[in-house]
Amino acid sequence: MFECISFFERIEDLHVKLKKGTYLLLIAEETPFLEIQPKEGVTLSGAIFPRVIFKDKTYSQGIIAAKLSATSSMQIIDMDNPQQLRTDPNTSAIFAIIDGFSTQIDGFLEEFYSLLPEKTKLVGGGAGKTTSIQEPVIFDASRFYMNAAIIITSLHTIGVGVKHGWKPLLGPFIATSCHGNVLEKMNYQDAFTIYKEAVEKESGFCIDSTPFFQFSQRYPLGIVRYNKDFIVRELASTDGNTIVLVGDLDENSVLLILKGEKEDLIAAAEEAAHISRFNKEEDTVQSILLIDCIARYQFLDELFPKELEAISSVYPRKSILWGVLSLGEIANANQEGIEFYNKTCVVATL
Amino acid sequence: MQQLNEQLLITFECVSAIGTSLQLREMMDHFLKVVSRKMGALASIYWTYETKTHTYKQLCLNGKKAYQALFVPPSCSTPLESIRFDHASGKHLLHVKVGEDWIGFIFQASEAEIELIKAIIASFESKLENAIQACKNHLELIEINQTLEHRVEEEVLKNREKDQHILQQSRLAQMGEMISMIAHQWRQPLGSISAVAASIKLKTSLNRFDYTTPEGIEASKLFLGEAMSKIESYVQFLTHTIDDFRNFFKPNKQKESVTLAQLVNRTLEIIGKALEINGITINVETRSNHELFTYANEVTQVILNILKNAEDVIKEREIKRAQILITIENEGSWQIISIEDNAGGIPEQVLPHIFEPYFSTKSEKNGTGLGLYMSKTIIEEHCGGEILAHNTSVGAKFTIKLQEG
Repeated sequence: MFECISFFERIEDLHVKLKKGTYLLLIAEETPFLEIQPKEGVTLSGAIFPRVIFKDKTYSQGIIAAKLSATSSMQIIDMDNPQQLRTDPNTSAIFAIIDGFSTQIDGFLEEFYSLLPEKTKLVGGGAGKTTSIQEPVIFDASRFYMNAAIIITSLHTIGVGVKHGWKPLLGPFIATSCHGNVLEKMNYQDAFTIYKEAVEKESGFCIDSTPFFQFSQRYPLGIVRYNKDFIVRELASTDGNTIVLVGDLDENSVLLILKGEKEDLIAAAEEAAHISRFNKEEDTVQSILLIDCIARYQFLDELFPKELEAISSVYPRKSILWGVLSLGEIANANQEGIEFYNKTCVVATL
Repeated sequence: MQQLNEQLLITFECVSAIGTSLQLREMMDHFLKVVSRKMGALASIYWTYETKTHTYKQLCLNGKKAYQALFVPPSCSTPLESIRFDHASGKHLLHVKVGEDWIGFIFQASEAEIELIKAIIASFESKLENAIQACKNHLELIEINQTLEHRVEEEVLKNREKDQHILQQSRLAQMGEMISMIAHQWRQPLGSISAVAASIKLKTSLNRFDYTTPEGIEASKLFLGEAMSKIESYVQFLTHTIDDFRNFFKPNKQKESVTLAQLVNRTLEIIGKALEINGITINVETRSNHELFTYANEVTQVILNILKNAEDVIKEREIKRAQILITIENEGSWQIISIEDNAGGIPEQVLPHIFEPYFSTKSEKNGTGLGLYMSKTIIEEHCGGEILAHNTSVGAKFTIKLQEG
């Protein structure tokens, strides 16, 4: 998919160092960035993320430039109109970067999935800033886009592993009323009342005197699926009655309150890497693309490098680990519909 | 235990996705989406049975379109619930019949897992079938509502055409009756003309006039002059009769001021002779002579129709000393004309139906069953009056009430 991955500290360096070719730029949120000087023979598109990952470190400032291989192509499409997507029937892999604050993520992914060739595997993540405000964070050489997606298609096969490490604490609960990403009622009662009672009872937290972020990042919700791992849903905010989630929820979904232990999360990341690398010979691994949730980074805090180490340990030493800390992760690990995950680790073996 | 719990919860979610809309496509789309998402189907499909063409039509496809070709459209030989393995793709296909329709799923899972999914779907199959039927009924209802206005217009048009047809039939029937009446009216003058002509012919052939003498020539002239005068007078009568009938038939949609007595006279000009020939005595009692402002020809038509009916029944029942009494009187602002015969009356079981269209007791005599229906329409709808019928001790009595002025 990519023939060369480079890291730059400053935007200005790109103009000097990029050689002819097509590049995907992943830019960390705090990177001073107004525009990119055009350069002859260089085509680029990119997106802004909370942080970028390169080798064993994460950066709040800096740019990853991934040069597309000859068998890959890149396009920006409007998330309102996935039908714009152009794919070769032999496309094996897709790297998709979507607007993490778009209100159309679910509909877009559903339609997008329907258009994929039969054996295509997909990884990706939500772009955006931690300010929680939707901004135009996707760009190409000519302009910035809002509510858009960068789609990179490739004929090369990739390995995909998706794991989160969160464990069920309480449940099940039924989402008896919800609209979009707002969970109004669980078990016919105000969602936050149920959540608060359950978490306080289990954890000993006094939720009223604890900052929302502190308990919500530790106790997310899980959406149950039949015979499959649940999907983690992060809590974004509450008005004291309802809970706003990062991602949509179907009414009558079965929910669990989850609990995370740092060791479990790190172990899960390693397991995702194992799944992703499955059957890949050492010399066929070009690089490791990691789409990891910014909330995991915040939760793991000083232990986050351990997660990166755990993933790297699965691969040959020379393999470059790169990627982003995103606002939501996407993948279709088992050829099923593309899922929008939170607090999850998506590892792609390129 | 935990697996059972999970199955129950997922079943609940799938059941909750049933009947979320009355729009069939929307409902099934949502249902397939939820089931696919929860059960991990790669694609799902819904075929609805088209009763008109006896074929299955694909209404929804969920999931990857690239898998669509794997779905085999159902046929009458497809088992009600089937799991099939597609060797080329390595995928399992599950087909389930829901009522007359089919749903299908593609899974990347073991057959044992799909058997469980099949069992879960079977547990709410009847609910899904009912929801599908509800959507179809709803659609049918919408279509009926949409076409209702059109159908009402069509029916109104049909009724108008029917009314026109009835009117036409009624006119034709009246014309037939009129021709019969004309025949009655003309029989006597034509007979007289014939007699005069015969006498001329006889006298001429017998050489009754001596044209060799001035007296003979004079007698011949006198005879022929008288004969011609008679013929002229009869022809004038015939012309007058034709004018009467023509005026009666002339479409006249103008109201005019007229008394009921005048209308009775006009009617008797037409039918009087026929009644007389049949030995029916007409008595007219005029107790009121107020003017009406109405459609004179049409009211005359009604009076004529009642008199004709009376004549028919008198002849049918061979009534001796047959009489028809016509009374004209007033009651407040109403002018009332009653026509009563002495033919024994209308059978009680028939009486409530006599004003209905196509109701006739004289089918053998070519009764159209439209005369009284048209009479009621004329009096009540055109002239704003009322027409009633009841039996008296001697016969039937028809009463027509019309507003003065």
